[in-house]
Amino acid sequence: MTQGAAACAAATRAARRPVAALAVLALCAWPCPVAAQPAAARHDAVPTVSLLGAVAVTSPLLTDGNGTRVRLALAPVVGARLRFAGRGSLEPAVTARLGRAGVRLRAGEARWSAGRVLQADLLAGAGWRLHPLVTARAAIGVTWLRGPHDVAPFDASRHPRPTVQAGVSLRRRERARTALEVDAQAFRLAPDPGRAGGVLRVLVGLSRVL
Amino acid sequence: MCSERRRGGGGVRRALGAAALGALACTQPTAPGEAPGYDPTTLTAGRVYHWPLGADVAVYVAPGMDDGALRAAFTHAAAAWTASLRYRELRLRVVATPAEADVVLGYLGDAYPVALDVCRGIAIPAAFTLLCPQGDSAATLPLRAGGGGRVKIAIVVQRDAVGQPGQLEAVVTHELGHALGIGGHSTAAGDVMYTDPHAARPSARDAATLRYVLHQPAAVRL
Repeated sequence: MTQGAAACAAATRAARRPVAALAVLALCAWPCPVAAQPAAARHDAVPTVSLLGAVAVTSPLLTDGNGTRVRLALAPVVGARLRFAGRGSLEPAVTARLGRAGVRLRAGEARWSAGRVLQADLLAGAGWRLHPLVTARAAIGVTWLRGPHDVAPFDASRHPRPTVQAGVSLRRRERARTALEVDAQAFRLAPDPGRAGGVLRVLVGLSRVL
Repeated sequence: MCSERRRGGGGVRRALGAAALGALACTQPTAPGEAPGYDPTTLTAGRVYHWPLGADVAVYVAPGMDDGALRAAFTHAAAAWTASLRYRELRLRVVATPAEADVVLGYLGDAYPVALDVCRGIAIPAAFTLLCPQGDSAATLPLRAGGGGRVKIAIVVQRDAVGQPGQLEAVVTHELGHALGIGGHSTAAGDVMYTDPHAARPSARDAATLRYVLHQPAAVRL
């Protein structure tokens, strides 16, 4: 058995325990090789792929003592989600997203722009079907922010940051392939010098099952 | 506390929900306010002047028959000052003619492209910076070649006073500090804004002073 197959077998066993399943998915982060699964489980193991398109609104990334505030403009976001068959109403999923936004600064009456930010997210989580038309989702993962190096807070650490996300998908019909998605993502930024704080990002968009 | 997370017993939904709420409940990322290294208004009677935040300041470097030394000194000074900013408050670019320029830099002499007898500038032995307040803005310095132009600041270097190695860089960096908004001199010899500058680049005190002054309300807007 390959290392990947062993990890996925562990994921299958762990599916009964959601915390363990999330941890394994976060490490695995890739669809399990179908050939390694027993025939009966093969159908369940095929992940469903969805494409995502959204716009994101982000809370201020930094406010300094002189009143300068750094924000991101409304950002287009695209991504993909792999949803795995789970047990009961639980559906493990892995999501990758990429967004791009302009950096907007404000100090008193002055407003100016300072380049663009690229934000990439990799999230592992699960969805719970609360209703045939409503799925709640939660995920943990990492987010990368790459912005202009001469503008705080992008001049500080460029390492990936842990992130959490909660959201909901709404479908018009039970078998509809398109869903409206609303997500709230939170992560922390630590400017240097400065004090770390939370950033909230709200994404509203559509997903489409391929 | 921001770092605290509710643990145990609630399952994934509650744990993730608590983590999200914990992150959201935290304060925003903040940076301390800037304090100046020295008073940036000692030469302007307490009046702050600077370019609008986010401005793209056009600089014309007059040819000086010096094998490009003045232009190289400006490139060095511009990079040093802009690197000391935190929010890209200003950008500096070189233009080809004085008519396109907000700032002119050149050696003192007949070929200097703008009239210098408009008002008194901020002077050190090797150079001076000319800025002529007019109400809450600055007068446009007339081009010697005629035409309107938009030059607000002239930086004039005395060629025979910058003969030592590195002195031209120090003097141009000093004068550019005035052109960007520092209307004062430091009393510390290690600062580039010291009256007799020898430092090749802005010190932490110089950088803090520029960052501070750029975020003060301008009594004279350039």
